[in-house]
Amino acid sequence: MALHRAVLKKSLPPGLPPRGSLQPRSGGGGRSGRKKDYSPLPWSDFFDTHQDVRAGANSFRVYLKGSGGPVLLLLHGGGHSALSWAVFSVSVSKLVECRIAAMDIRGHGYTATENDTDLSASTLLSDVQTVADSLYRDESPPIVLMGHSMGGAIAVHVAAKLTIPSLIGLAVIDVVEGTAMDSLGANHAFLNNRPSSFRSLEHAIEWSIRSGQLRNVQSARVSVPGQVMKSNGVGSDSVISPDESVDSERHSKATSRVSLLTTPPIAEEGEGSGGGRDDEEVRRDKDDHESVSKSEIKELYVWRIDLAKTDPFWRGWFSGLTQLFLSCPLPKILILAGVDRLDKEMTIAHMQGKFQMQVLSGCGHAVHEDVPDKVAEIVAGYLVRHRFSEAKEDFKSLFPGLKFP
Amino acid sequence: MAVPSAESPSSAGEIPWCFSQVKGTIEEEVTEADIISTVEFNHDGEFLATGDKGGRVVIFQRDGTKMRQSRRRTSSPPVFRCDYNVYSTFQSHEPEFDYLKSLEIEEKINQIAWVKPSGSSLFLLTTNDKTVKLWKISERCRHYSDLNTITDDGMLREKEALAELRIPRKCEEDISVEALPRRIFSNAHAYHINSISVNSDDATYLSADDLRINVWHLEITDQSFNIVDIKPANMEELTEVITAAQFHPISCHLLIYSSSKGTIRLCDMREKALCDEHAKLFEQPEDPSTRSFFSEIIASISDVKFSHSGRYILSRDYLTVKVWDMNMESRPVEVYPVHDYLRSRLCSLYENDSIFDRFECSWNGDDTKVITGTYNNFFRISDRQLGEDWCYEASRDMSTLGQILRHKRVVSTNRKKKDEVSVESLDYSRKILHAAWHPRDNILAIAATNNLYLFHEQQP
Repeated sequence: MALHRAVLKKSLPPGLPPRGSLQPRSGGGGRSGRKKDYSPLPWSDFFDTHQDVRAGANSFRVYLKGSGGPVLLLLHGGGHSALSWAVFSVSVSKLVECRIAAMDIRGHGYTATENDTDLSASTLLSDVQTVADSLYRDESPPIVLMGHSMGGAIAVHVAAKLTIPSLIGLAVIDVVEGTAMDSLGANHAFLNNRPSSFRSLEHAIEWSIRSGQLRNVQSARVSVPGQVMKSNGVGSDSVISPDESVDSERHSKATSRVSLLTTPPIAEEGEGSGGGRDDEEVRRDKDDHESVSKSEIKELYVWRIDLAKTDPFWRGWFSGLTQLFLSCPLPKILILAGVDRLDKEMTIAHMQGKFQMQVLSGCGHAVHEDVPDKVAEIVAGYLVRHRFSEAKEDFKSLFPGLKFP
Repeated sequence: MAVPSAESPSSAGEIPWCFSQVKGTIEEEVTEADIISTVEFNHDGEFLATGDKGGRVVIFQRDGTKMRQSRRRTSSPPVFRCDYNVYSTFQSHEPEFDYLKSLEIEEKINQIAWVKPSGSSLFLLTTNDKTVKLWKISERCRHYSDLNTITDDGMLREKEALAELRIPRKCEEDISVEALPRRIFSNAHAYHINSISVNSDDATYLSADDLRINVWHLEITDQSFNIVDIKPANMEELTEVITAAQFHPISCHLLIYSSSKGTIRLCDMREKALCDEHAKLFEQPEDPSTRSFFSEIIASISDVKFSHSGRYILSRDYLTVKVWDMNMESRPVEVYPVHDYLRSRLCSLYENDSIFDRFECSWNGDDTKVITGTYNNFFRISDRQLGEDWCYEASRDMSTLGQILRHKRVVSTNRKKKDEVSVESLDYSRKILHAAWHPRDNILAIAATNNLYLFHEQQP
């Protein structure tokens, strides 16, 4: 049908008024445009509650939303936090009946553990196991594991272990073994190019947008505060509720080992982050931040986790990922930011129909942050098609092939 | 206007139609899956099949069919049987997902084609966008009586009582109908299948999608022959798609297909293996006086059907129904406007997408009348001999039960008499896309969204 219509429309002379039914899809914010509001947004605008799951001396922060339907257990990527799922959670909850549980992985966000530097795959996967058990062991609801980048790799590890009995689906965002392994070397260069500190949350948010790390301002405003923390170890939330002060204390104890990072001198004015701005501005920004850091130490925000130090664990996350992913006997979906990010084994498996793949454009590596509405539609479609959950009113079946040119 | 010769006089004149039955739910809320997408009578009209968007097929059997087939002769006079009852329902196609292209494949039944039966079972082909299936509908008698060793109550007969040989009898009432997929013809179409048509040789059939037509053998599922391919080397240059195709009812080597550019091509399979070049091209040159922005869109032919005699071709484009004589390619012999009052409203019909609606058309049994649907649940019958046409409505209005269907008119003024509808208030969501005429008798099966209406000629 679509081809027929497309051919007929081609015959129309140009200049016909655009038809009302073809609305441009809102990508969830996009670039900031005229309104340059970089103020941080509180997690409570997006999630219902949060909980700290205790396991011995460890405490894992989980943000929760929704009350019925399958659970989407969300694992963020390296250097991010559970808040990177905030906008996506709101979008997907509008479309289908589901619950969201987004956790801060060890060493990130508000999670405080005895050993924040042990980010090995086995440790992280047992952390996820712990959280899932603690929250859902009694009820055992259907769970769909969804992870981005490092979180995606961990999700695959967890799924392959078959330790969550009620696991029904697996969704991975923008991580493929071949391409991830190839880019491990480039990670350090990218990390070095980042400013080491920011004088305020607004600046951190602004930097993440200007440098092209994130493209969705609304998402950046809620998620970047989860990526950074005050240099004295206290949490970075601008909205602090009574019980959080207790948490932040424990948090500061656990992370007291984190020291102020000093900026290593950077010789190259590399592109590194692939932003749309010229090098002058990037350098000026960094200098800006650096000069401030020396004078106002108290107000400084630094990166929550020193990703460079997690280097020994990187190979362990991604090695053998394709095999593990394909071996999971669950309906799987892979959302990618670019087709060239798929390696040979995965291409073949995709052609064999072993998993669903959606490629999205107009987004960077943090697909769920840049285009949360599209990702929500895809995930909602996946949940409804496999009959994991009920569609809500706003849900419209996505027929990717039938889009008119 | 050319009058077809050698037609029986009894079919001339307007037929007094009256309402028989309606199948489907009364509720206002229409579930998407219940929308009927195709309607077909079988060869003798004893069975009627409908397919819906949910991938289900319902087969109706004409009342009293069994009486005819049974050996027992009744002495009652032949009565005009016009009731159809559900005979079998089955799920023909399920929704699928094409992982490679990330496309959902709809389960909607696009077309049904009956295959002439060779035994007591029914055979029909059903298709969705990608896969054609051959179904066998067979009756199974579940209960036999008068068995030799077991009484009707289920007790063993005593040995002493076994004096004579009995012949068990089928219990006519206790019959179950089952539908089995006998062949699945898949993976032959990259584009959406719009038509299937069984050949007069009863061994082959064609399936047509937007750009290609394939010929299959009913027994062979792993091979099919491509006979028409209009895909351009560069898809950017695509200007025309195939909209419908059909085999000739008598000559097994002829087929026609219609295109979105308003042309009908007749192909002769004896000429070449690949029939990209037509044997005949039926195209009416455009009338420059009626040219508008949308001329090309409304020229697209949505359905094409051979007459039962095989001499004429019926085509439906957005505003008219045309009858072509196989012997004359330059223009149709008859043109019947269906809803000309919409000609000035094409812009708004484009806005609400109605201009892309694909209406079907049908012949009556002796090719003297043609029927097609329009909006507001109206359908139009045109009499080729008298040159007249009549518009009726398929509605649940109970006041017309038993009475003859009244003519409906669409008027451009607002002052309405009874049975008139103003053009402004036409309901574009209630449209009749599928209408079938019984191959012999005057019985109509009209699909109006999720309801199937049956009308028959009022008997004296």
